[in-house]
Amino acid sequence: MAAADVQDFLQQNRAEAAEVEASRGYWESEKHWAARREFILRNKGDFRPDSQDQLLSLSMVWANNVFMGCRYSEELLQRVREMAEGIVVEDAPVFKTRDEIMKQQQGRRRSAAGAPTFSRRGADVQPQGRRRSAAGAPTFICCQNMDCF
Amino acid sequence: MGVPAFFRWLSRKYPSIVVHCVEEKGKEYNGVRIPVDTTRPNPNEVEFDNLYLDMNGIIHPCTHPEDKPAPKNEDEMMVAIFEYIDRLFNIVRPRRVLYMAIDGVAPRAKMNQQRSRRFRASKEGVELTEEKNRMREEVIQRGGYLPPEEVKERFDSNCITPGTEFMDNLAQCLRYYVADRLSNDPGWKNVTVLLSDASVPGEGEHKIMDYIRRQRAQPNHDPNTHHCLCGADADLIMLGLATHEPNFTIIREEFKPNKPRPCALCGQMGHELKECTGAAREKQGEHDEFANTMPVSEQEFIFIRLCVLREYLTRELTMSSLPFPFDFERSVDDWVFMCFFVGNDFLPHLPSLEIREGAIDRLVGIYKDVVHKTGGYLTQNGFVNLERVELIMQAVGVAEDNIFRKRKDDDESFKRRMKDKKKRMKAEQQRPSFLSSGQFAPQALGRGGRPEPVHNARHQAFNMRVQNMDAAQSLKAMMKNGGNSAGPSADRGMKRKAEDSDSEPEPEDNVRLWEDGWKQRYYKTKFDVDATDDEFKKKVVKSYVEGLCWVLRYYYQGCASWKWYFPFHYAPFASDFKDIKDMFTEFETDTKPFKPLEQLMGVFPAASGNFLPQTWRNLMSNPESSIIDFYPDDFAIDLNGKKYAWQGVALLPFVDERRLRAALADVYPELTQEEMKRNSLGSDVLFLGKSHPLFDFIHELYRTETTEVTDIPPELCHGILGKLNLDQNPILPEKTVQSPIPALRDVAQNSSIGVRFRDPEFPAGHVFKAVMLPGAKIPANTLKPEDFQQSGRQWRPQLGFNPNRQQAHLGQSGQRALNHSLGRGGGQYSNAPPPGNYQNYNRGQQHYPSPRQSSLLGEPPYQQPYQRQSYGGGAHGWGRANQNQHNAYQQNSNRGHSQGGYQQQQQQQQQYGQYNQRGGGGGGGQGYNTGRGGYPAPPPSRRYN
Repeated sequence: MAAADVQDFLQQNRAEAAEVEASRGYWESEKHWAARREFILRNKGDFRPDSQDQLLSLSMVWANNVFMGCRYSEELLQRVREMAEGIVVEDAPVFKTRDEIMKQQQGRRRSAAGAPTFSRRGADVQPQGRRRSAAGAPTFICCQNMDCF
Repeated sequence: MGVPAFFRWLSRKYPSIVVHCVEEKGKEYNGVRIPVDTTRPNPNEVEFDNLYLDMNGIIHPCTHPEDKPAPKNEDEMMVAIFEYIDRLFNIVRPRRVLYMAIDGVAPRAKMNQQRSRRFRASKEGVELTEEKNRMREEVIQRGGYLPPEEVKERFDSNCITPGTEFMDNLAQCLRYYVADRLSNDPGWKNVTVLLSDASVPGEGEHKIMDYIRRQRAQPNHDPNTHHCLCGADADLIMLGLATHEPNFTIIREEFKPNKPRPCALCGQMGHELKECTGAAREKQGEHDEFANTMPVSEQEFIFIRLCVLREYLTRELTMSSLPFPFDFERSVDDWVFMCFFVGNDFLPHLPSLEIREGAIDRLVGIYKDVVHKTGGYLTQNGFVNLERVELIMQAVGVAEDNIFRKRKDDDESFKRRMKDKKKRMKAEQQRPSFLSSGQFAPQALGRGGRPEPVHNARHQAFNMRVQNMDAAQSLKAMMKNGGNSAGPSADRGMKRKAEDSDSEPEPEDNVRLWEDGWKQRYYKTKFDVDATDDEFKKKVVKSYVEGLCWVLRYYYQGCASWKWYFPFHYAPFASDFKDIKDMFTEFETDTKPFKPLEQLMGVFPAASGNFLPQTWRNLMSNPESSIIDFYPDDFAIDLNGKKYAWQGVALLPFVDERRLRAALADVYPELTQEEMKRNSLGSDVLFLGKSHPLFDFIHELYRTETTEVTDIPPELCHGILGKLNLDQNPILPEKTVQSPIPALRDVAQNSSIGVRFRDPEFPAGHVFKAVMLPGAKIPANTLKPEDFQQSGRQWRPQLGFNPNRQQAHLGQSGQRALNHSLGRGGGQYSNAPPPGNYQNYNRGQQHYPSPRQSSLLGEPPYQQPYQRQSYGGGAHGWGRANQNQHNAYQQNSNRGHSQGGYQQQQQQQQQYGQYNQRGGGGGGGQGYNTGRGGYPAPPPSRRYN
């Protein structure tokens, strides 16, 4: 189902279109919503009317993963990726999650342990070879010692 | 408020608002602790009526302290909390009301922040444990020694959230604590205690504000009540100003940066966890007598006097030739409003406004410029005039470009300076700062050659001087050119690569706010939308405008909507605030807060699910759950142009309230009785001791088992109004209050009583007026008057609350003791010098008054004659000390009559003169005195004005 098909579908099924539209988050941009809407429409048939919330939840899992950098269990991610197969998202942002940064930092620390001059401050978070998209992708860094309340 | 820098900025700009607390410590005799008698006048020379505790600021440091080892179990935590409250009570000594407020369920607007804190805290906790285990193994492998791991449960600070068992226990413990103190501590005898635990919705500080607001809106309120609010959040300052009460003071822990912390692994100070080597513990003190004392001083408290801040603001905000009458109270409200732009708990701050860059000064400047055009104030009683706000925003927007560019420049030059500094330090470290050369050059011994005798030393010295001049010149040049053209000598022996390995890697910043096209890049990177998408931009601005209205209303009128929240992670630019006039009309009415357990589901990560019932927990982790998207295992953090990582933005998904409630509807029936109780909304409770005038009234309510809600008769309780309702499981006199903590005894002789309390109610749509109440007396000015003439009189800053504070003096015996222990001569008895020398001798050793005093007085006017007194003067120390104390207390009892205090001092002044004479006449050292004439009484003008 390509973007044009989605439009056709929505025009033919006004009632359903309105129902789906109601689940748009206020924060979702046109681009994000279009992708998630496609996700919902593609899989709507596979969920019973009383478990539509689960579909919405899965669509959010997928959107959060793609547009916000959230990670869920591998099992869950695998599932939403399969459900989203064929949806084209252009120029998706690239994220580094907190865990990835922490791991990288620790790796550096360990390999550097024993070296006489070694700066502990700050971490090189340049994601070597991880960058997939062009400019416009934000870079994220870890947080240490948060204020805790 | 989420602006840690705000308080620092404020206290630097307005230093006189800070007053250090005087704390009387309990004494210990033969192992028996003697508590401080808090019925005595407050040693801070001020009397407070009401003390409000924002309990979360107490619970956090007591349960997981940063500067000392954590308590072993929950009981120890509770005791730590009790002790902390005792300390505060001792310092503040409230005479009427003690209000303890624990955070209840917060408005939805706060949920994003709570989520981000709890998700982060959960991850950090796990990481710390892992790191500890790893280091422990490493240290032990290297043969280091570590104390055996204590068996203590890892304390998940996330349990400090309403609805958990911990919070329920805490409420129980506090009830016990209050009953115990009311029954046993004389200082609490007449105090009305209000406890608002986590089952009452609302953030702690806002519950307190609600109480104050409602009390002052009713006619029996005493407009000169002196409030003291405890808490470290900067927004307490805003809240205090927003009350428009003339006497409002905030007490908080003094912030000391870089406080040493003990290592989490071995418990020793001086290194971090990462550097722990497992070295044997060093002996503390000669005989290890300080083994269990931390080498850090106890956390001290400071007062922040809002009446002084108001004085400062009067100077800053007063504007003349306005097209409308100037009203200071209204301009304070506008100032509070503008501070929200810089940051608050509910909205991300505008990218161009950074408190460290003087954003508030900039805003005030713009405000004063623009106010002529706006034709009035920005806000009234917590309602925003958007048209006028737009003018301010547009003015900020014009400067935005420059702000970003300047920020970059400052940043660069700061980095350059740091780099240069590092370079210089290195160069200095590698060799001595001065090395003599030529024949005088140092030579290593034992290398065969012997040092030659020096020839022609004069000429050599001349050469060295010339060389030195060169070096000085090159140093100057180096400093001027930023170190690039350092002289040949400066660079010698320096390794090039050293500086590179030291520089911190810069996080990549794709937004580059300082380059053209910043706006497009910002929207693209942060929101993933094109800059042409005006619709979307408008949506963000609209939400932000709503947010500003919501926050201000929250501070001045209470929570307008429990549902509203800001649904983005980033703020728009100031220049985007166009046509905002119609963006906000009114909030949805009759919204209800979440229930405690619902809120837990909204703010906890799946890793903290153990605080929830099994079936509820399941919703957080089961892939089939219909709200599984709220609980990511891991999430991205955006540094967002900040230097420090903890300032970054956690990108967490927002909670869909409808879906959350729908999912919970299925599991609600599975709650146990106990959980249902924790999930219900509770009530504030009022406690009193037996001697309180209201006691009999309440006791009577219980005796007659009145079921209806009863009003407090205002004449019985300092004009406090409220509605009373019998408690289901009350604390009653002659009924033992069981201790929830094994280590503490039950209150067998309970003489306190507890009853449910509700704030006075006002009809819907009531607007609380943000004005000074009639009859309120503004406290005397503290700041140096701007027109103060330098001629002759010296300005003496006021250090405490009391404008006529007694200066501290050291009596003669005290001087002697001090001199003795400092080893400064033996004092007069042990080493009496011949009379001729006496004067010089004494002058040489002078006195060692407290530095504070001497710096204030310049030269202490009467210390000198005092010191020169004869032996007979030995009695003075005592006499004066007693006199001082006596006086201080009298002054306190005369609160509000500063005249009286002054007179007493005058009186004392005279007595002092008499003493002098008596001392001169009575002592055996008559001979000494005669040579030096009389003892002039100190000029009163210098001391007291």
